[in-house]
Amino acid sequence: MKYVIPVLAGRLVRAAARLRGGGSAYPGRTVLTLAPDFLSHVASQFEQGVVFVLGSNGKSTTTMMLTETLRAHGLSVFTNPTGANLPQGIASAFLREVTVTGRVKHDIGVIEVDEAFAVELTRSLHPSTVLMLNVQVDQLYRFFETERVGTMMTDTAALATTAVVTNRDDQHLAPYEARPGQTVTRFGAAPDVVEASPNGLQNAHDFSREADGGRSADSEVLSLSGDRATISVGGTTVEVRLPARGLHYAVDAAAALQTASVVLGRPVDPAAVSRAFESMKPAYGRGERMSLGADEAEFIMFKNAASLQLNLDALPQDVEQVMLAIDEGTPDISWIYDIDFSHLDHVDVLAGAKAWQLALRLEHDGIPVHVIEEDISKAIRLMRRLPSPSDHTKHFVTNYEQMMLARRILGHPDLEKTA
Amino acid sequence: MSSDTLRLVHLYPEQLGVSGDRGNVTALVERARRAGIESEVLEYRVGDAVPTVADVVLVGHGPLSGVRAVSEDAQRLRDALEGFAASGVPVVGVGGGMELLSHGVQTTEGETVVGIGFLPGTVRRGAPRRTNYFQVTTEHLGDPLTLFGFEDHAAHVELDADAEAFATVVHGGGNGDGRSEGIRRGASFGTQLKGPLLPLNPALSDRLLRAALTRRSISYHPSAAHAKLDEYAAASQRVIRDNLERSFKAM
Ligand SMILES: [Zn+2]
Repeated sequence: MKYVIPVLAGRLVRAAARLRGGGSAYPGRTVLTLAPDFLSHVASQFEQGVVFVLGSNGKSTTTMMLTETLRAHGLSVFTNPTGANLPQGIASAFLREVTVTGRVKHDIGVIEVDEAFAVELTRSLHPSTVLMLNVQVDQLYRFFETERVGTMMTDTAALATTAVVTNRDDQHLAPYEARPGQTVTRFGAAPDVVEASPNGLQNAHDFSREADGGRSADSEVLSLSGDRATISVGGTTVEVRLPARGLHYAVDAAAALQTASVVLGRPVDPAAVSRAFESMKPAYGRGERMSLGADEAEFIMFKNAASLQLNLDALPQDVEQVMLAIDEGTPDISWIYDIDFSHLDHVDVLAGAKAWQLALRLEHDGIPVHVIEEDISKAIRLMRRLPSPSDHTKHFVTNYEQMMLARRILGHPDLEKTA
Repeated sequence: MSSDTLRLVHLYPEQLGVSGDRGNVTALVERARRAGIESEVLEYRVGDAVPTVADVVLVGHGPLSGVRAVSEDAQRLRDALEGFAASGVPVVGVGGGMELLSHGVQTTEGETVVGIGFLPGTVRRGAPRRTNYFQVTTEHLGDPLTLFGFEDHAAHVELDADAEAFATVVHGGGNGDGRSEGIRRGASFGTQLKGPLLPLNPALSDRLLRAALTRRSISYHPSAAHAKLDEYAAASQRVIRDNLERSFKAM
């Protein structure tokens, strides 16, 4: 009965927060204050353990892919909503699923975790499996050093009780070696697939290491065409439809399938996997489509240089209509000078406070910009007024804050953090 | 290579090139091109033959692991950089690049990452982390000039006795003495100004180009072809000026 009051208090806080019109970490914080061991109490009930999903980019998409794959194999899976990856957010997510006495009925928890809190969270969630996706230059702003980010992930992996799944193609993560009692397996993309991508995988260099191509991958992206990928996993070949275009999504899928086979303890069923992927919707703001007059708006959100590059590379060549938007939510955008924009032959509208910085960048490359409009609502109006493109898709490539504003304008005011 | 080509040397583009530092190279190449001057960019990497000619040398920003990774190799460049400086070639280091050009970096763990000792200052890591818009004024290569950019570091710079700073802080942290920013030596300097520095501050780019090209008796005149670059840079500066007080959260 120990958890009844904390759970009810947390739910009351959640109901109050909903009335004020927003999800938040408060419910989680409340329950953790009243019952500090709430996370371990819930996590210990998952008979098939807890999986951590870590990485600079792709955590949300991979968590979704892994969750849906396991569900397609008959497991009941608990997962946290996209972006609710700090302790309070995870507690808020648990709060939604538990009974008043703090019981959950799921077989397994698949949880995306923020790198900075991952080691701390192992103490309460005791992950059986840790999946490490990539170290990309993102947290440079947050953590200063990609080395440090890599270490946060490998330190967390070292605490997995049974298995670690890591990225064969990431200099920081690939060399990870099993601790006693662990098995280590790897995923990756075949060299010719990486080569076909204009700007590769975008993983950060590890300057203290020499390149090492000697490791093999247990799951590998064999081919990629648009949103269709062929992936080998555990000796079988699986065809999947990715929730959005891009090499990064194919690699995320290889990571999810390898982790699924480790968790299941047997090869994945190709038919079940294909079904699961076929019905997958793009994760929040990652290739999501919304109606825009007679056409559709496709939203691609980027968080950093690596994700912007991979998303640009996945756009159709000479995309007909595209808007780019960045505002003060992304403080330092020096890195736009390292982005290869040559995929674009023009940009229709630049929006957000940093539109001028983007314009300056594109002007250095001679890429024409038709309109610069700092105000996102006016910018969207301009996009709406453009004639219908032949693919009926108007592409919006934005940072998180501009996407939030744009969603509200287009009638999708939902928040990512729904815990 | 024709006799009127601008010769740029970009040092360690991978290890010291994580914050758009190629943009500083791009800005000089593009402004020169619009003035009718072609460029040749030599990217220097660990183990390469030491460059013997240059009109401008650029080295960008990287994490401490990047500075550490090139520290030993960079010692080979000392004589070449001294030679360039003696003939008036600007050598420009940003962030980690300035650290490499300085005497070296003292880390919070008490380690010293040895620099080239080209710029007269020492960097001490472990200062409170700064992430903010940055405004300075400099008289480098001319009259006072206001520069805008982004500051993101956790370091103090201690100038050698009678060494000069590159600029004076108007808004931001700089070297940590409440006043000075960067290190200056003749036509060369190091700074924490990112953004990147040169695309955002075309007037400084023009000063560097003039200093570089005058030595070669090549005249450089910005023209109508530069108007859009200048207009977008001015608008970018305006937005930064309007947001100087904005604080950004660094974890
Ligand atoms: Zn157009």
